[in-house]
Amino acid sequence: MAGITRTSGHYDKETVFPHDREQHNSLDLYSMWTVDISANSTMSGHYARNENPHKALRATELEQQDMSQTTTKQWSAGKLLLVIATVAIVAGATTGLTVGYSVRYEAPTTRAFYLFNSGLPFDQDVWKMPHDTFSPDRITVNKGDNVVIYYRNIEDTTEDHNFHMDSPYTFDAVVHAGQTENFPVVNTLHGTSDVTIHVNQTATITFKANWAGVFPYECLIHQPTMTGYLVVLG
Amino acid sequence: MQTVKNSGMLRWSAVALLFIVGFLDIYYGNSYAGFFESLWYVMGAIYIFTGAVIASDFEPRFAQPAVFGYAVFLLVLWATTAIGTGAGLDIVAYVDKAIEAVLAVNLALLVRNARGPNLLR
Repeated sequence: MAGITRTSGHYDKETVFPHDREQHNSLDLYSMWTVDISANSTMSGHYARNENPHKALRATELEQQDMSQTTTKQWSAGKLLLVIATVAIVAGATTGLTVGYSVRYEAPTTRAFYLFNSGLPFDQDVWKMPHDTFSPDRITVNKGDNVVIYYRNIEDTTEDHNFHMDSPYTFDAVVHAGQTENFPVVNTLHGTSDVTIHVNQTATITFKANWAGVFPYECLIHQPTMTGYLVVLG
Repeated sequence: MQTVKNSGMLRWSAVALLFIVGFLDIYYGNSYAGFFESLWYVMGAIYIFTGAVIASDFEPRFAQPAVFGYAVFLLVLWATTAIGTGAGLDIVAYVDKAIEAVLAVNLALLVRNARGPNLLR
């Protein structure tokens, strides 16, 4: 068997190549799929010369099988890459177009809300809780939206109101001295979780809705009633 | 000798790109996506896993072409989904996909380098 350096597996080496046991035991995984043509071309001839027609025939059959296996497994790099790329492109395009057809998506945008303090018609002293609430008490946006809240303190008394959000949300706030954003700025806050405004003041609150979920916003001065919820759809 | 050296360089650059894209995908899913962000986590996790596989050189004749196919698949998936929905059209996604394109070319060169032009090599 001189000349056979590597050959294929998947058959009983002991039966076919009884005297080449050591040589075949040293084969690695990849040589299972790798054939040395010059070596194989001499295999059946070798057995023929040793007058073992059954083994020679079997070896020839196995060579043919392995050559066909080898041909499919051993594509050139260019051909292999071309086939993989084609399959990947077809699969990717099919999936992507199906998703595009069946799923509705709204790109992030800027959403503005006007937020006011409000009051329920009950006596705070009798009910032992503040009658103040937010209006609206639900703000719904999509994840990724830029949120702008124009917060107005419309009390007819001298009561302050506050806007607070817990982690992970923080916001920027600009407080104006009057009822609109045209009034002078009296306070500017960055990355804060809390802003307080006096009567007839306006705060412009901005943040990006980066986290999906339901997050409370509260006036810490009027708990537990003055609480609203930011709903971020993910 | 030169081929072996090039192959090593291509492999490690592929590993670096796989980790970069993987972590970028996870970051994008966490902070930006707003559209099936869980998928971005999965895609990122698979990239990191495949980065480890390529780094360990485990079954390179299978792993390298498979990762190449995965990168091309995701690139085309993103492009067609973006066309259909308008999702994932922002700077982070563009950077992520540009790196992914470089990764695909890197892997193609790696596969070509590892296999060589000879059919029965």
